[in-house]
Amino acid sequence: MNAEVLLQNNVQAFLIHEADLLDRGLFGEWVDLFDEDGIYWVPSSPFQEDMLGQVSIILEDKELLKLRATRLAHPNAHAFSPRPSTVHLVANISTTLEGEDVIATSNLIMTVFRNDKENQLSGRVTHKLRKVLNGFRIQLKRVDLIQAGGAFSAITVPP
Amino acid sequence: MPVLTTPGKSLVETIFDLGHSKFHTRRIMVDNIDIEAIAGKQGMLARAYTDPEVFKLEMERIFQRVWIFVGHESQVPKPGNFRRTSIGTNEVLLVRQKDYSLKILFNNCAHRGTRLCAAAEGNRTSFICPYHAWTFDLDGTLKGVPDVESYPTSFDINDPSLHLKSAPRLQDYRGFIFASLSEQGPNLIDYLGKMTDAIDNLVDRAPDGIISVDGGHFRVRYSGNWKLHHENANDTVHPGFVHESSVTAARQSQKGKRGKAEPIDDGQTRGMMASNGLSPKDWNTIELNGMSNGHSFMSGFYKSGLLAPQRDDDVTRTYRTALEKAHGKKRTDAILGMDRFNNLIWPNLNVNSQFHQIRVVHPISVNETVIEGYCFRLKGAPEEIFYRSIRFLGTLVSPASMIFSDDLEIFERIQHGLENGKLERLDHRRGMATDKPLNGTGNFHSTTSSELPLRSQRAAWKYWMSAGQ
Repeated sequence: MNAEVLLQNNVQAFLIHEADLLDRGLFGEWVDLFDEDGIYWVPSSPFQEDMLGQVSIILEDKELLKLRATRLAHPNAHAFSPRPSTVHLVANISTTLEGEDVIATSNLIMTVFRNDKENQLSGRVTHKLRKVLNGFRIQLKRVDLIQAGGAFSAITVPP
Repeated sequence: MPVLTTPGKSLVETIFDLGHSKFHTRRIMVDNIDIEAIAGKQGMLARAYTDPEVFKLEMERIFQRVWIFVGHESQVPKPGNFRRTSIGTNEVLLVRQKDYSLKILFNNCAHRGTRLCAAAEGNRTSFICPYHAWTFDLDGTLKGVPDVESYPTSFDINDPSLHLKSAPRLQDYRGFIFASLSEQGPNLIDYLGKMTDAIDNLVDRAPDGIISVDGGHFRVRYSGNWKLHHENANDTVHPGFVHESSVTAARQSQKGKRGKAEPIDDGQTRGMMASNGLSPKDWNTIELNGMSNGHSFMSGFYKSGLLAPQRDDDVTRTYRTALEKAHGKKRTDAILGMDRFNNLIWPNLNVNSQFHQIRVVHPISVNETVIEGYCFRLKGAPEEIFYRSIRFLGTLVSPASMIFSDDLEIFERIQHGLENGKLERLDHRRGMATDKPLNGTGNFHSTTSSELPLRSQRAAWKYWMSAGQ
């Protein structure tokens, strides 16, 4: 296998693993995929460039993501009880190299089912991945939802 | 307009009827809906939240008559700027005129009723209907109709009924724009009463005296009645229960890591989450204020030491210096020390002056509501102050908020419970015996964990639902 195909395969396996952790509700393990200075970003508007000068649906560093995971594990996280069933469908993956890092872009369809109601979030996802021994760590995960700017119901499971 | 079969009480009478006195009950029937029965002293009937007929009447009698917040002046700075918003279930455009005055226009064409502007905001020299190109001036007057020769002589382009409908009254208070779809009614200043203090305070926090909506906004939807939002905002007992998961997580996180730099907001989010951990002792140190017209706010957080007025760091010191330069030290202390939270202007605005934010309530249907959250940039304040406001908004009003998502869940559970349960009347008697009237003002004050704000809202609801005009 040439290096390009190998990289594509490894990135795909990583993204599938990440989606699986989210769908199984293993948020602590999901947070562990982030680098120590990793950032998770869901902008509030399409084509948002400014990370700090504009509101974000989620803009969190690893400590805040841990806090988010801890809260979801609490028995009285009401919005999360009962726990929604989700499926994160990751597709249209492409990878490019940026120095030592890998930029992976993908499309996401996330279906959420809870209390007899179905909801969907979709978007374009950009991962900036750092290569480590046996895999990758997330430096930045950016999710540009096509619904950005619209009226959202509560979001508990990260897209 | 519905017909009133029995004249309603005066506003002052109604406000004082917060359940303290034993007014003799009479039936106030509006469109066959018994307002008196719904707005009981003990609490509202469940149908106030579930009956589409009641909702329809609310839209007519409350949202089409009282002052409704429609935007901030900075959102439409230049002639031709427009912004789409709603007054109850009516979609309207807030439009800056050529002479810089403002107008509210209904967003549908006088020809076939087509929605004129699909864009949420923008700049136009005129509004052209996409269907047959009827063209309206910025003030709503019809100025062009294609093939006008084919119309009979009775068709007059200058006929006002062919203009875009506009709000008969529009007034701003220090840049906060309110509109009323009724020709008559109290003037805005009287309507706002003590709530003007909250707006003053927000504007005064800008060293240069100018604030502007900036940094984007959120729109969050819940399947529940519009009243549930304001009823929850000044409830001091729920945070310890509803927000338990985020309080616990924040406290654990605080234990876990001290002194480590956090790149995103340096502990602000965690601190906000932890601050909801109110104990029964705390409930009774927060003071509640129920105004005439349904407004309310919480106070006493600084006085009791529950919260500190300002963080003590370089950013706040720089900011304070800029404010002192503009206002002097004494006035700066007063501005930064204003001890009022969640200033609810009934029925659709929440002003959080300290954190430079507002929330706006948009009823969609009897069981569907959209909440919008905005924050402000304070001219003359350090950029980091603006960033903190943005973080505050995200932590508190984002659909993914670790705090607000639990409130939304509760709103939906209330709605579900009321629609599918057996409860006939909700209860809002907590603190009823200890609320103190402030003489001659129509306002009440409480130093316990009272449901006074709910009773103020109920009184205003009852007044407007039954008052004839």
